[in-house]
Amino acid sequence: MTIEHEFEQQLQNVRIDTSAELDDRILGDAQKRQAARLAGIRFPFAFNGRFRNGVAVGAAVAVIIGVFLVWAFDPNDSWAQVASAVKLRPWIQITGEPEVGQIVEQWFSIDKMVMATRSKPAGYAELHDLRNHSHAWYEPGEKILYVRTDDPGSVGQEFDFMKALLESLFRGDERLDFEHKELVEQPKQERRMVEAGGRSWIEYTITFPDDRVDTATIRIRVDPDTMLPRSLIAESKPGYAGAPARMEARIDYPEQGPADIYELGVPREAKVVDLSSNGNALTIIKLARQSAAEFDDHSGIGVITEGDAPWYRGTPFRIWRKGAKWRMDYGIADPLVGEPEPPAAEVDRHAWWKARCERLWFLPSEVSDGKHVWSNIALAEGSEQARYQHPIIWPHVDWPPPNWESRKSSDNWPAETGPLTFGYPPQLARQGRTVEKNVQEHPAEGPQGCVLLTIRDAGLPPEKILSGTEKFWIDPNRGCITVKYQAATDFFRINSDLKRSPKSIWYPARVQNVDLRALDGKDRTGLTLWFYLEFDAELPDELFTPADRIILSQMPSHLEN
Amino acid sequence: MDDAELIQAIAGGNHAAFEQVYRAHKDRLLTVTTLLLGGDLAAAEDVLHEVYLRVVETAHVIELRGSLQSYLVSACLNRARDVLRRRRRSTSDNGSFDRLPVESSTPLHVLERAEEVHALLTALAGLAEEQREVVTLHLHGGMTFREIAELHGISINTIQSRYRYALAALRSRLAHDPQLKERKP
Repeated sequence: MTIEHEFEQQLQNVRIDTSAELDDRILGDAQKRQAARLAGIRFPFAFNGRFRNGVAVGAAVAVIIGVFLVWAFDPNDSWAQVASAVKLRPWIQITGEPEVGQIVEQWFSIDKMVMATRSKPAGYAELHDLRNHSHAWYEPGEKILYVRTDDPGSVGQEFDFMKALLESLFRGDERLDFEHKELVEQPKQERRMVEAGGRSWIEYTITFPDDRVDTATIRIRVDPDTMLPRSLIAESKPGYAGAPARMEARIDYPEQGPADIYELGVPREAKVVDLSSNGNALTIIKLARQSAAEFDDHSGIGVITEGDAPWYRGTPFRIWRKGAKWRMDYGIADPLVGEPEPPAAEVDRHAWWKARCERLWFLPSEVSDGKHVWSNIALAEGSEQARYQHPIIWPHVDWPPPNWESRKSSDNWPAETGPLTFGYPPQLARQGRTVEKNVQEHPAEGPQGCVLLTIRDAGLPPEKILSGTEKFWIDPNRGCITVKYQAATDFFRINSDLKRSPKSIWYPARVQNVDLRALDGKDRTGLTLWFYLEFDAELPDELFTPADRIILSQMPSHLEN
Repeated sequence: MDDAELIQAIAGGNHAAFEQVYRAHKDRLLTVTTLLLGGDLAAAEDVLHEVYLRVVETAHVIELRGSLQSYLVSACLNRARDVLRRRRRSTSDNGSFDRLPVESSTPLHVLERAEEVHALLTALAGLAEEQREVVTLHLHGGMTFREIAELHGISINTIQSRYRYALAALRSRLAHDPQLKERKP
């Protein structure tokens, strides 16, 4: 290695990791933004090229517009008088012209709990009916009207963030309440009386922090007689986004609003694609989740074998689960221990593996205390490929101490470790605006007694829908355990040797993967996992915290000292 | 899912896809951005925050011409440049490597490497901006010289020259660092 190359590597080794706080902040904010987008809060800026770089402006406008929804659904005493007056008018309408000739309108119904959006002449239209959990949107480019009647009500999530701001606005506060700073950073504010159009207005000027690249100002004019907001002006300053951009929106309170998506201009002849999940699908997923959540605390040994290798020639891993806490360690054979001799045909496999594990050293892989997950990312030099060989054989003295990388634990699905993660796959919780879940009660193929649950993303391009489709053959008579799983057309997983826990919840003792794809140039066909669980072992809490060093709890006797 | 499918999934509201993208690139991007900003970790975190949220907001219009990693590194570069432009207009300079949570290969090595790493970072911060960019984008952003050249709109030869000069300058600075002189043969 040349000196230059060595120096480059020295520089390259510098790495700065994000903190857990930053991870939480970004992931949390992103989730809220995604929810807002799914909720259809895309008022003018989503359609405005000049504002394409003006995300901060768009978000702020979404916030302020979202205020009206909170107001509409959950008025409280502090502004009951105003809310009462507005309740006499069933619709709130906001109209903006982000670019010349491009009109965007939004309607909100107080009593009907409806929110609708239309852009002209682009032709995009969207309608949420929160009371009936229905959601419809028309994509003019595709000429398709998408509908679903199982909308989880994500529109409502933003409302809570807006409520404090709304109350502040209607109280006429000197400073509007932006307490939800995770959504919008604390802005500079000014409140003053202005004269415009021959009358007085209360005008709030909100300027977002100067150190943001998309410096933006929003002005809201409120009628001092009714305290009703009547207009909104958003401006982005020159800078990163280029030329300044400006948009005015008018706020009206009309008697009429759209009764359905077609009244927003959607052609009656438009193709309708129903993305609703059927009721059985949701019930089955709920039952599968319940089985995973209620599964007994346990410890156990899992074993990975490859291809036609016998059950005793593989890499074991230890698993522990206690409520939401879990842990997994890999058992690695020191070269001096090597591969095992073939056992007698009638041997107790579980007992044999317990004895075998006593001659291995164990490398912590992942640990969770239920709130965070720590992954050990330390690798011995040159060991990358060793991880794909079973059994893994590596000298324990060469392996570096654990290097823990943490992440927030996901509460989406209560099955993080095998065999539960195979019996009750977390993919069942897959969500998305265009994700649909349907059940065939009598599928033409698959294991006997199983229903077929199909999850696919209809929003993908036609040529990619198949590759994004997952199939689950689920046995409703055995706690909705997944017996067979198929991803696209080239990956199958067969769960067999089904057993019951003391609580009578089913789990697979054997999981066979059939992967027809090449991975790193290697044929991964035939990877099999075997599970031997125990339900009476002690599970001290210390097990579920990341240790500072490799745990050599089962050190081979001849390697001690 | 490939990069384009991930972006499409994010546009469709798939948070798991976003989390996958976030975790795959976050440390690389924070490293690149912090180095570009002369060690201002707080500003780098803000840039990272903004870049990732922009991915959420604009996923439906993102058209990848290369890898997602290159796209994200470029986005961080643009934002970092903007921060530096504003900083030049003001008198404050927040750059400091004192607070950096420097990651080393193992926790046990952190203490013994800390001074060395900080010396490297400080030397990097002392480079001209265009030199620092090319070193950071290449070594930490994983971009090829060709990609960097296209990004800057200049020839690949110029980029390679900048890189060579930057490395030479870095080595010269580090050779005169008293801490490193004691540590290295």
